Parts: sequence; structure tokens; C-alpha cells
Amino acid sequence: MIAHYWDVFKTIFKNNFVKEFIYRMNAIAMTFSDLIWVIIELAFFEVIYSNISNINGWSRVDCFFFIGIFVASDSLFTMFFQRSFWEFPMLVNRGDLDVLLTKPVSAVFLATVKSINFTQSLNLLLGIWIIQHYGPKAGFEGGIAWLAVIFWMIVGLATQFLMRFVSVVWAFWLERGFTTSALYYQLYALANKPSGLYPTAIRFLIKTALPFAFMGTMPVLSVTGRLPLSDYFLVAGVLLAYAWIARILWKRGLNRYQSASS
Amino acid sequence: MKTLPMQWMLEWRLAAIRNGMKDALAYRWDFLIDFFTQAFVPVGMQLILWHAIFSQNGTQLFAGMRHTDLLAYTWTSILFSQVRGGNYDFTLIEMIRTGSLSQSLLKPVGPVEFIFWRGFGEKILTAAFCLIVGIIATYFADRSLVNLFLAMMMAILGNIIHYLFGAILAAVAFHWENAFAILLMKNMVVSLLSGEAVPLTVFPVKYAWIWESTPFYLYVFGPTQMALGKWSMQTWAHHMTIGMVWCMAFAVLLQVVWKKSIRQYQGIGG
Repeated sequence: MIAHYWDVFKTIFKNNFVKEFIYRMNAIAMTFSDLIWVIIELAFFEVIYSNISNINGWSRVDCFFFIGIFVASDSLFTMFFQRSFWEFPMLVNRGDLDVLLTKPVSAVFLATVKSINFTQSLNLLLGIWIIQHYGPKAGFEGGIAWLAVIFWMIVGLATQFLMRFVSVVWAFWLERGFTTSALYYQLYALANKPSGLYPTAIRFLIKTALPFAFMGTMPVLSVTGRLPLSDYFLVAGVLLAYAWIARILWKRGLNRYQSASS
Repeated sequence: MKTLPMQWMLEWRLAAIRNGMKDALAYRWDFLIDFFTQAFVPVGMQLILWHAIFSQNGTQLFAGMRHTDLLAYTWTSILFSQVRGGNYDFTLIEMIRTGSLSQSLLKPVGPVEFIFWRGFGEKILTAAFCLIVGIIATYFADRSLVNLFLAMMMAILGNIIHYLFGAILAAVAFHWENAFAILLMKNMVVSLLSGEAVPLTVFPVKYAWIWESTPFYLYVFGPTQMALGKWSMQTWAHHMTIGMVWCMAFAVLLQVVWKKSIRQYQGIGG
């Protein structure tokens, strides 16, 4: 079963690679534009911290380390899933989901990995470089602790996947599902700043209903040994709850789905 | 070639502006939702940041500014951040990539200018809406109406510069076929250097040359400083002159770049 999915994934990967490099200059420029996004994030904190040394316990180095972990985790999601999630509402509205439902692999799998974005690969490397560069100053010991970074990158990936899934699955009920995607990305602004910058209510929100903290803040606290044990249970609980909601919404959505294609 | 009558030259531009306005109002809920989400999310992030720095951290001064100064900047900047934008340069790229530029080339009006006026129609609506909000706010905040109008003029000039710059970059699509990335890069840089994310006075002095050497500060930072009364008339006139020089330079560069690049264009289609 896993081998079968792996074969399908390899084919999708190959097809997407060819598709991406049809416009190779754009792909290269896109890679640089993604790099610039990271540089802008770093520049933002550089500007802020040139005027202040510490914000609620978050120093300049902590923030840069946070950016490294966030970028690495986000680049994985963007690489493998982001484009497919943007296209998801169209699959439903145009009736193209039919084709995926008839395939001998999970329709969720096909719908969410069908478009891969290779331009993010450099961001992954950049994220890892930032972690390595600023980590020791932020209290990250390296060595075996890299396993914890990998673990949190997977948690970040799973978090974003589930949140994004719950945001797009509404396409079954809405005429155009893009509004919920747009809303998601507006709220996503909460993800790329450490939670120390937020008031208590927002800190609670990004650890529960909108768990953006799982992509940056909590990994930083965890790998520097500052995350309380109860928060690990919270992460597991929130992700399970999200998975359960996603599953219910998908099933109900499919029951409601009426194809418009011939 | 026969010269087109002056009246017609004016008429098509007005028609394009009207068309842009109608298009924006056809989906008026989308227009309003877009306006408010695009305006308030960056503002919300700034307010949270100022709250963290001043209220939670106990800081008194940040980059020489008090909490109230930064709040005033943030709220005032909304009026101009919505005028500065406009992603209609993306339309040009799409036209080049898909070949729909061919149809525009057969028409008696240039595609670059037509797209601008059409997009400008939507921005006029936005500017009018922001101006009304600004006038109401001015009444309560004891600011100058003249400053507000001058600030809005600068923001509109910023919008024109932004489009000209975007249209120059869009010409890359003639060579690369798809050049969305270039415009995305431009938008990211602009978001930081326009003063939309944070006031540019927060930049360390040694880095101030970065924003001073681009025209992007005329989009949001300049108008906000003017509306808040931080700039005198002379300063405003000085920066407007700089803006106009940028505008003219970009207009000339646009002509040269498009004239040269369009030779590469091949519109293949039925």
C-alpha cells in the first residue's frame, strides 16, 4: 500500500518538475522572490531590534532563530501542498473532483499533492542555515537536538496541512471557495511573529483554535528547553481535534458534492 | 497616421476609468471585504507590535517615538496604503503570457495605458472613500484638511509611479514568458520600504539611504507624514518634485523598454 502511494507520488513529482521548468526563468526568479520574502522578514526584525533589545523575553537572536524554524517548516508545506490547496476549490466547483474519486488511491492524497512547488527548496536550505547560525546564540545545542527540529518541522507541516484543509473544504458549501483561502492567509500573518509579541488572548488563540504557534514559537521553546510538558499534550490534542474535524467535513462535503462535469 | 482628435483622446481615458469603477462596484461586497481585510490585517499586526513594545515591555520611547505617535502613524497610514497598491501590472504579464495582448495591439489605444486608466478607476473610488474617512477623522483629531488633500495627492502620484515601475518590470514577460515572480518580489520590497509595515523613521540612520533612494516612500510614508503635519509645505513640494522626476524617468524608461521588448512578442492563436 505505501509502495503504491510512493509510486504515485514519484510520478506526480516528476510531472511537476517538468511543468515547473517549462518557465525556467520564472522558476528561478520565483526562487529568488521566496528568498526575498525571508530577507524581508529578517530585515523587519533587524529594524525593530535596532531600536529595542528585548520584547517580552524575545531577543533579536531568538526572533531570527524563530524565523529559521518557521521558514524551514513553512517551505516544506509550500513545496508539497500549497498550490494544490489553492486549486482545491476549483476541483469542487468545476466538478473535476470526479476524476480523482474514481482513482484507486485516496482522493484527498491526490487532491492535496497534485501540484508541487519546487521554488521553495532553497528556502528550506536557508531556514536550516538560519537555525544553524542563530541557534547556538538562542540556546539551541545542535547535535541530537536536530532530531527535535525535524520532529517540529513535521508537526508544523501537519498543522498547516490540517488547518489549510479545514479552510478549503468549505468549497463544498460555498459557491467560490477562494474567500476562505484568502481569509486563511490573512490570519496567517499571526504565524510569522513569535507569540511573545502578542497579547494573552492571541497567544491562547494561536495555541488552540488557530494553532500557528506550532510552526514557530513552540518549536523554538521546545528545542531551547523552555516548553512546558503540558504543551506537548496540547499540541497532540489540538492536532487530533483538527484531524477529526477535517475528516467529518470531508465526509459531509462529499455527501453534498454534485458533479457538474460530463 | 491620422492624428486622433483631442476630445477622443480624453474620452477613451474617461471611459476606461468609468469601466474600472463599474467593474469594482459590480462585486461591491468583494470590493469592500478586500478593502477592509487588506487594510486592517497589516494595521492589526502593527498595533499588536506597538502594544507589545510599549504596554507589555514598559518601553517609553521607540525610535524616538511615543506610543501615541506610532498609533497615529499606523491609523493614518491606512488611508494611503490602500491607494498606493493596485496589482494591475499583473494583468500586463498575463496578457503577454496568454497572447491576449495581440487583441490590444490591434486597438487604437496602447495596452499599457489602457490597463492603467482602468485600474486607476478603481483606485479613484478607493481614494475617495479614504478621503471621506480621512475628513471625518481630521475633524475629530484636529488635523489640517489641506494637509490631508496634499497627502492624498502624493499617494496618487505614488500609485502612478508604482504602476509605471510595475509595467517596466512586466516587460520581462516578453523574454521569460512568465514573470509573476518579478512582480511578487517588487511587492515584497515595496511593502517594507513604503512605510506600510512600520514607519520608515524606525530604520536605523545608517540604513536610511535604502528607502530614501527609492520612490517607494512616496506611497505611504510621505503621505502619512504630511497628513500628520510632520512635513511642511516646502518639504511636501520637495518630495512631490522628486516624485515627478521619478515619474518622468519611469515613463521614458517604460517607452524604451516596451518598444524594444515588444519585438520579441509572438501572439500565436486562432
